[in-house]
Amino acid sequence: MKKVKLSVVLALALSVSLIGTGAQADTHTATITATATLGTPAVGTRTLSTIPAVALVTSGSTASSSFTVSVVEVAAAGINGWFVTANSGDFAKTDLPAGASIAASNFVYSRTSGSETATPAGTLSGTINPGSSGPLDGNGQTLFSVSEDPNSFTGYSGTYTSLGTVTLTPPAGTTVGIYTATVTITLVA
Amino acid sequence: MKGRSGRLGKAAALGAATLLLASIPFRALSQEAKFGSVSLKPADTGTKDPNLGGWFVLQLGRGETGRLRARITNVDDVPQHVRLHLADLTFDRNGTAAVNDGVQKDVGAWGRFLVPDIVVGPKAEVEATFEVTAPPDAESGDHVGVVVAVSDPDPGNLTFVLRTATRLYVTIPGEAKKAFEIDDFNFDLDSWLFPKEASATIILKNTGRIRLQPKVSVRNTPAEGADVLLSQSREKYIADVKVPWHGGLIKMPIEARSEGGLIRRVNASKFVFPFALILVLVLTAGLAWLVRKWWTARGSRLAAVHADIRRLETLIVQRPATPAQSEVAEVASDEGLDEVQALLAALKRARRTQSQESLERLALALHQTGTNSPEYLLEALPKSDLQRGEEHLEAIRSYGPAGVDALKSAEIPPELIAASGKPPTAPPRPARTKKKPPSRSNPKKPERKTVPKSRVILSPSKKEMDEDEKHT
Repeated sequence: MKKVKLSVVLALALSVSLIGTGAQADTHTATITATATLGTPAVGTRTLSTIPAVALVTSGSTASSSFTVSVVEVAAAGINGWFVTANSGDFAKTDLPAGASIAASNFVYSRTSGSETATPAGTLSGTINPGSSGPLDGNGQTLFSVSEDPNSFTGYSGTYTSLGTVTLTPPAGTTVGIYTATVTITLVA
Repeated sequence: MKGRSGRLGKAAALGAATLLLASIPFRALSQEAKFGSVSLKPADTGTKDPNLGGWFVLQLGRGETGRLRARITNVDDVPQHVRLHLADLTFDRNGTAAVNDGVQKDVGAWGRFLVPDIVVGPKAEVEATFEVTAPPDAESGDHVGVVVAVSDPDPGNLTFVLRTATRLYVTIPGEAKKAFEIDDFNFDLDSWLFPKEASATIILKNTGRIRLQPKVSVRNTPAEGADVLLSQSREKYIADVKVPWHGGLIKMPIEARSEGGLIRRVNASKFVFPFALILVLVLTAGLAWLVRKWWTARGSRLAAVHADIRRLETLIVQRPATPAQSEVAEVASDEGLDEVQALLAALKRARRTQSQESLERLALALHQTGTNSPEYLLEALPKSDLQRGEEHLEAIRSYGPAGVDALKSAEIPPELIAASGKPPTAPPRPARTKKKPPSRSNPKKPERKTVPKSRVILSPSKKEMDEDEKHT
């Protein structure tokens, strides 16, 4: 019998990840605030959209939720493809006694087959390609990729969306407690 | 800064909430990223640069330092705190690029932003400068990395970090290695049952330090993919290859050519289960079976017709006076057949089958039953051989002047006239009871004839028989 009852375990609190530590060894700490104002939409941009709510709901010994990621292009340049990846750090126990963790390999992304959409479809937007399913440890998974058409480039505009599910399955014997994790979503162009 | 401190305060509140929730059922602890990532692109490149200026590019001598500007755009309605840095870029086997979050060994360790922490106002754009210094021992050729913009995490149950990474290529002049390889490939059929095309995916890896422009083909079908295969990168090339309808083991030779005469080939193949071929074979076999069955049935029917004719001829040729006659008559009687009717039926079949010999014999036989039969005799006469022709002539002449008149208008072979030695005159008909077939105008009064076994013979006229044949 599992010691863990997921219903009281998975409270996921704030954990700020440290990313790209190698390049920040001796960085400056000043901050600036931009004052230029853009029109709407911003031309020549490619950005990750807001992430809809991820509600981990328990079911038996697992907790899962739908997971939707979108990228918006507005007259974006480029003829090479780009990718969206997701990876997660380990789940760390934050309440006392601290120290326990759940490996990120237990946190799995499953893409919903055929869910990848590109709107509007046509020559002004790229072609969306499905990603992969699997654990979000290490480099994680590719949620989707987009191929631009080098023969008809005029600046790409569109919204690219993929749907999937994230599921956390704590291994047997996991200590009851409150765990936190950070999920990093990266747009690589 | 107000927005940031506000979010941190909210994070603290949520953290407290999660502690409280630990003692109650975990229902819907949820989190969302309330704003998106920023956009990151070069400020100093043009459309003639790689990826139409979408990537950062820099050429540096060993030990040199160069500067580039990045343009960061916030498309959201709230200010965003962004951290900027450089990182190495890695590629997995599918060609997917990933930011190296571990120890930086290449471009990721060569540079930094002058101001790495910035706040970009709502719907605002800012430029940030970074510098890159090539190590004195840097290898000649292209080195790939990324410029990364990390948005502040949105606090909650799950912490989401959104970041945008744009490639940075640093080129070190000098003699560089030019090399690439076909790293992986696979074929996906458009249908497992009746495939028409296979989608071939080929992954090329640039193993050198010089960007290449490869042309890839599969089974002589050009593949589409990235124009430029940059140093140390993997790119995916896709070709839709026609699949022969018959399936089987299909050769899919892959060829990749690049400038400088670099050629890489792989002799690949794909097995396609030959469902279509099997179906065609099954259909062909079924069709052959049906044709054979039809042919056999047709042969059986013809054989039955021939057997009928032979049997009827036997019935007719064997006269009632002969010992066999009673036997034949018995058979005919057993089968419910009238001799004259049987003869008439046999004559119809002989006409249908155009059996001259049967026609001759049946016409004579009908005549010998005492039934009027000059029409049949005249019909058989033109093609009769000499012996039977003489018999026919004799038979026709036996009908007296009517027969002789009929002979005058008939086509009689000259040799037959010569052989018979008689002009078509009217010799006296043998003394016999003349039977007239019942006419259509008086069907109720047929002439009766006594035949062996006391059977009544009705002999319809030729016209009636023709009409009968039409009905048949």
